[in-house]
Amino acid sequence: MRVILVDDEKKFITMLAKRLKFRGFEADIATSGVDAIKMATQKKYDIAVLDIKMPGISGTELKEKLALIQNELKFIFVTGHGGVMQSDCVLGPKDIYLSKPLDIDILIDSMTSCSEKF
Amino acid sequence: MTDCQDDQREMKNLQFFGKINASISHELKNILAIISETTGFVDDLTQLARQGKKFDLSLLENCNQSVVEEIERGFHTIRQMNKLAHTTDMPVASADITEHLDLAVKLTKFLSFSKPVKMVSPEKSVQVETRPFLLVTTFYQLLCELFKATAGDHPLGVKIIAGNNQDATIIFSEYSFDFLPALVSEVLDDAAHLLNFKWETDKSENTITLHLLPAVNE
Repeated sequence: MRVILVDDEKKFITMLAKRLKFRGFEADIATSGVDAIKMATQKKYDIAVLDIKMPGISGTELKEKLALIQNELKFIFVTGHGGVMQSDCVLGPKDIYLSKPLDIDILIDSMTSCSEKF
Repeated sequence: MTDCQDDQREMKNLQFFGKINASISHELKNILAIISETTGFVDDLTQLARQGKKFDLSLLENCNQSVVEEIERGFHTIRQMNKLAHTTDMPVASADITEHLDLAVKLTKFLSFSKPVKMVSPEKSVQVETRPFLLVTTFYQLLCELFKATAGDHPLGVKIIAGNNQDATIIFSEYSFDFLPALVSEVLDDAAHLLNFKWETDKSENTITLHLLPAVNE
């Protein structure tokens, strides 16, 4: 399974990518929406794990742009903000929302289930 | 102030505290997320070692360094939170303007739309009798509005000038919009009476100047 991790917290996604690779996933990282868009035009991914609050392009805006490039792409949103579900109707019915700090097993379960379900 | 104005002020103070609380808790969650992933990776390396597989020891050193850096980042965050909490100790007090402006700048750093700020201040402390909490609130809100209206990462200029009579002038410059956002006027007009300052803009120079006068209005 090919995953792109997008978050402006570089250390977070670098470490997460290492842990996913350790578990047999192919994981790339991007620290901005612009970089993620460039990468998605060059390589096919199965899942995008996006931080919601990022400088420049937000995670929800990025989802729209990535979906236009790769229409099969599945999305998991990750955020350190509480109350996102209540304050913004940002998630589509197929999207998964996880809160930081992450549990790697829950992330992997979510990645597996969203790639199997849809 | 009327009771109604008092209530509105109280509500604005609460909203400000809520906003700051949300941005600081977001920062702390990010720090914990990095520490959590790093310790998780150390756990993964431990599993490798148990299986008799070799790995570069510098990986462990890097993990250790990363955790140390994140702990320092956490302390820095908590220090700002603590400084803000103490601005409510006295409703009116003699305050160091540079320190309070610096606190407001540091608090904005936790926001995703934050921009760089280039602050110039006199070597000697600039003390003005003021309402410390409202002063930080006003600086913070003003910076937020200027960031939102400024494109790119060009630093916002802030210059503090000490007056001769326990007063001070603060000049905000280098923002890159041609019109003054309505919220900037709202923020400044709202606080001008309570903080006893006058403010003006110079459209040709693109500056906002605040002149903090000695002694706040009761």
